[in-house]
Amino acid sequence: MESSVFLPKSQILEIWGDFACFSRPELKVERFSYPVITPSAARGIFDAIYSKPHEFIWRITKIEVLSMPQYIALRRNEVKNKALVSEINSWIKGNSEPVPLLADATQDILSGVDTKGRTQRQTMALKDVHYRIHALIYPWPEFKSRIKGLEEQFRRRASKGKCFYQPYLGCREFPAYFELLEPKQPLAAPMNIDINIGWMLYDVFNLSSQGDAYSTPSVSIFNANVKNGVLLVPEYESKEVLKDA
Amino acid sequence: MLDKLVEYADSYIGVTNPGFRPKEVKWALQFSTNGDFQNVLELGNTSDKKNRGKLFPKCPDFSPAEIVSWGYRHFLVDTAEVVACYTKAEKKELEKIVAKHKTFTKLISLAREAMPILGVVLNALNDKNVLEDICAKLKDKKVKPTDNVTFRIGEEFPLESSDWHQWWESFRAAQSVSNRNKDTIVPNSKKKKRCFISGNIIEPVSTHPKVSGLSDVGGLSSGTTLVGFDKEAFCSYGFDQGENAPISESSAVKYRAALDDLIKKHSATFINTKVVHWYKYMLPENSEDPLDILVSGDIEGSTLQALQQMKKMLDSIKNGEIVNLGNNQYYCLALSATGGRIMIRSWIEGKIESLTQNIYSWFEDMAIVNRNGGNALAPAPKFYAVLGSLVRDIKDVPPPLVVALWRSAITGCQLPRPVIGMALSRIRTALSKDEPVLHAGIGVLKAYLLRHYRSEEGGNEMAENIKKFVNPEHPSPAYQCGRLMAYFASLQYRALGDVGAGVVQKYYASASVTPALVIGRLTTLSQFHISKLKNNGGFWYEQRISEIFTRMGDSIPVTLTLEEQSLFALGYYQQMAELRTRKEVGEQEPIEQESIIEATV
Repeated sequence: MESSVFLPKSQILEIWGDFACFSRPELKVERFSYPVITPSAARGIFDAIYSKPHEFIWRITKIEVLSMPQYIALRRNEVKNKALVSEINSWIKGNSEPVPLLADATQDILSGVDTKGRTQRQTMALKDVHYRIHALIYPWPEFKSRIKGLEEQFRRRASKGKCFYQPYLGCREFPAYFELLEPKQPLAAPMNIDINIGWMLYDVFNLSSQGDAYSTPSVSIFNANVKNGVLLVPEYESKEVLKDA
Repeated sequence: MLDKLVEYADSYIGVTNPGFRPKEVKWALQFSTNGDFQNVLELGNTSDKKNRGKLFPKCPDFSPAEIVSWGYRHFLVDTAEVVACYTKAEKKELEKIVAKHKTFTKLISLAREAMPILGVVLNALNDKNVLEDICAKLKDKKVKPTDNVTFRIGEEFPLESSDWHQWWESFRAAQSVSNRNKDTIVPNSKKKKRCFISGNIIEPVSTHPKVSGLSDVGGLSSGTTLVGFDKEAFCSYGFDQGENAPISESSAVKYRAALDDLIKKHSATFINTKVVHWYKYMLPENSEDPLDILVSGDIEGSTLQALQQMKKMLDSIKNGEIVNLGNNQYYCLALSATGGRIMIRSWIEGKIESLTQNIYSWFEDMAIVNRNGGNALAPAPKFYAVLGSLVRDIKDVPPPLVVALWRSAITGCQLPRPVIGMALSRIRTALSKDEPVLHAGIGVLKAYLLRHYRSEEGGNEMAENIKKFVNPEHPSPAYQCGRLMAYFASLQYRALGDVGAGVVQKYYASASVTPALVIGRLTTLSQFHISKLKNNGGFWYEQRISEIFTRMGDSIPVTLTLEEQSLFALGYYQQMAELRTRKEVGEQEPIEQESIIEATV
């Protein structure tokens, strides 16, 4: 940073929702949620409110847990297959009609093949989640001088409840509600809990470089330790964040 | 949580290298050192009807996926069918079995370089006459074709020798490399990832080893996968199979070994859920396992003794009498399975001190007067008995409710609200059929109410009013209505004896939901019963009933919420127990023959 004027200021959002599922990657088929929101899911919430990927990226610095993690078991019908790119391209060109992936029907009605289009999977989700998330706008080098403007835009949008799309808590079917907090606003104390989560997913993409829709994933993990209800998120470039070789 | 399983494997299980696994083997083919086949030996505890055989801690092991892709059978131990072509199969099936037998003997021939004594076995297995002899002996001993069989040469089991270990490891490594070269398009350097368990840079295992012992909770007897990405829809960002959650082969083998061991040694099954637990440090010999006490209710006598036992343990931890117990950590994992996949239903960890405290609170909150009265507490409820008190058929308890109750027991949190609905329904059904009310069902209501009130602001006063024995001063009209019901029932019995369907059988269900509709009619009825008794205790009943009406004030509740219905049930049950205890009821005899609450749990 060239001068203190350009230092990013912490932006704080209070986030809550009825359900959340921050799936552990190792348990993502029969889903089991981390007890606390991951930095990447938190980043996704900020992105939903204000995002300019060519100008800046959000970095999460701190997550405060405001309600005790409580699990709830859900069973949902899910699809087994992915949509085929070739079929979609063919549909775009007008050569064929799209074949839907049905989560609650037998595919033989449509195609005469396969047995069932759906599969029932468990989700161990969280209920009544409530967090206070601190994040910074990290502008890419050519936009460093615009940081104040970017922050102001974010604050205007967030204070009015504007978002590009509904923020969500891990899964799109679990909407997140948010409120912008003012820096000097008195804040409720986080829950008095300690959780040693172990290795937790930090992000799936490289946060140091400006990516695009075709960027290859780069998984990073960190040792997550909630102390007195606060999860301090290390800087992406720090040694505490372990990245793929 | 997987890292904790790996820690367990490192601390408590000796051998967890990839390619090795403990196996139980029931039969051994006995050979002389000259290569003569002598007999078939039964291993393990032969006097046990359920003999599972001898446990060999370090057996060679292929995963099912490796067997399919590498085209070999197991080494040194396999089913009798494969080892000796011992089968009744028809021609086509027989050809397949013979092919498997050949791959089995091929591995032995490869291993002969490292362990020449195996040549003895190889010669025998390649000799048709010897094979026939082996099959005849296997038949005599009533060996099943699917039973595991190994060899004993002289006095030694080759399985117990370490001579083949190095050869086996290099053989597996060579197979792994050649197999990878066959299908891999991405260069190896690109496949290096961070292990989600160890944090090290590793090459992720593509498919994970299967955990055994979950067939009773929905899994497959051949094994169930904890980490797997079999369907395309569950793979993300272009990752293939195990790359979605990179875990090294050694870590995968360790967590599998840990789960296998825990399921075998430290698990309890509640309907469709299996709960395993362990501690960071082994518990000292002079201390009890609080989770075992919760699960098995392994306590002679009443809840009071359970409480004393837990209290003693707590004091020992606090005073440091039991070394290292204060810093010890507990881990508790609840598992179910569906087809080939494991579902984690709950993961709880914490300090052993808080665990002991919470289990103490569980027994304390569940403690309730014995239905036979006599100022005694009911027996300490096993966790299974608590589940059984909620439904008519234990299989009807939904697995998420099992887990929610389990969590309440070991974390001290509130009981899930559906339990009171279930317990009340069970109590109503029992009373209407003149069947006994289970202690655990009433205990559940009491524990629920206590924790419910404590969690509410200013609810401590309400919680203090809920006692193990009857509380005539209880401020809740619902509770007093329950007591009134008990007096009406007792009065009727005193006046008329056993009338078949008494006031409880006829009116309990409606009185416990809409007391205002029923209590008036029952009060009128009680006047007839009092007049029958005349001087034989009638006045005493009249006094007690009027006392309760005075306490309730002007209003009898019109409808009761689930919580109030629980208070009603509690008031009824505790008052009945008190009436049984009472010695001096006018001139009446002690009430011992009442038909309302009789049987034991």
